Amino acid sequence: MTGVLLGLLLFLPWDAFAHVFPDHSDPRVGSEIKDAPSSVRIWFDGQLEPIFSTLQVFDSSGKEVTHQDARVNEKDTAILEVSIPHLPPGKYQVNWKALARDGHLTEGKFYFTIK
Amino acid sequence: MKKSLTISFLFLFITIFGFAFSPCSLWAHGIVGQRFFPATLSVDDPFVADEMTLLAYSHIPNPEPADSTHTLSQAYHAGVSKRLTRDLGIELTAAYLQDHFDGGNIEGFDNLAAAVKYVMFNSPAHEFLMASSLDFDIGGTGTRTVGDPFTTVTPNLFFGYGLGDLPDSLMYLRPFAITGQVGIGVPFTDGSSNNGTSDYSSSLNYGFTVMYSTMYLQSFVKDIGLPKPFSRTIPVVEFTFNNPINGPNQYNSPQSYAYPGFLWIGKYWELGLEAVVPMNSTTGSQTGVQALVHLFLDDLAPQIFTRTLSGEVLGPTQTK
Ligand SMILES: [Cu+2]
Repeated sequence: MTGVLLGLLLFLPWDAFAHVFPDHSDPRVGSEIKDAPSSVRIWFDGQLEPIFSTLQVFDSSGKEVTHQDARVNEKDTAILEVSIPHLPPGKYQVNWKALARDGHLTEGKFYFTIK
Repeated sequence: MKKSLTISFLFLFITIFGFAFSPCSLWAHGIVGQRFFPATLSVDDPFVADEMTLLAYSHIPNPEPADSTHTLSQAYHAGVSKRLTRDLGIELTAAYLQDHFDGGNIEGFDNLAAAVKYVMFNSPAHEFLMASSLDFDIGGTGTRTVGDPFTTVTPNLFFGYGLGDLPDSLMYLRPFAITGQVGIGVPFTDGSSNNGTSDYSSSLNYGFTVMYSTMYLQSFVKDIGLPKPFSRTIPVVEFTFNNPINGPNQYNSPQSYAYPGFLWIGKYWELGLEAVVPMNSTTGSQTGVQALVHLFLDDLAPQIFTRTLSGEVLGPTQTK
């Protein structure tokens, strides 16, 4: 039984890309920071498809504050990043959508606070 | 290409159908909203998925305290599940059972188990999901000393709920999720065909799980700097109850176990390790152990497993 299953596994393409999940970010998820950041970056655990991967930052009134230039980093396609203008203190919400190379979409949101 | 895919699926299922299957539940994983639900070891969850359980092993000493000659029960499970549409899936499970008694062993393949499952409702915003299934323990397909000679049909209801919409004041509780399952197993027998090793009464089976996802904590609530592998570990407690509702054992208390343990979520793999803790006199006082090695086929081979048999693209195992 196990032999058959293992045999089957040998024929699976192991270089496939899977769901991507965030590994860490800058600013960090849920963090309180002193200096306003100039960008938001999220490192994922797999490679992203540039098209359809999005990253937006909203202020506490729900207004988008990002420059709308979200992109997958050219040198490291596991990084999703967006630039932001100098922000006043407040709580900010980051929304992201990440499309893995094989079409698996994951999404999520988190907050950071500028003191 | 399409044709060869269909043939390879048929081959896969025929190969696995060639072995005996067990009445145990299959182990599903899935995503709803930003919540990833792992496969749990004892309670099936509400997803239909493309995945494979390479091995689920359980080791329970003194499984029936009333029968002191039954010293150890070991089970080896394997199974596959495949989506037919985004919300409809089939599951197949096989098991090899070894029951050790004072003065000898009984072992062999358990009956073939097959299930059809349907996701009825999901809400990504509330990380909530409901499903139903019809499970078949197909009589006479296992080794005669181990598998029942009759078929048992079990209609089931499932739910999964992530606590991600708790208010800010309770944000550290957001990584919690619960899942649950309830079903009634109805044996198709007149009661005279019992082979002595099994129980032919109808039974109410239910269970639930409580888990805390460190992935959810780190990615959506607060990055507290947990290193790997702890940042991909889900502490979990499962509970199962099996209660005869007619037949000779109907007045016994339910067979109930608690399963505290850990799940580790890799990119293509999941590993699980849990204690099997008896909760009443029906299940005794000796703690056992169970383990799981599980593969996410949709992630391992998306070219194959995220499609229907006719080649239509389903996308990954998650709700829309
Ligand atoms: Cu998956």
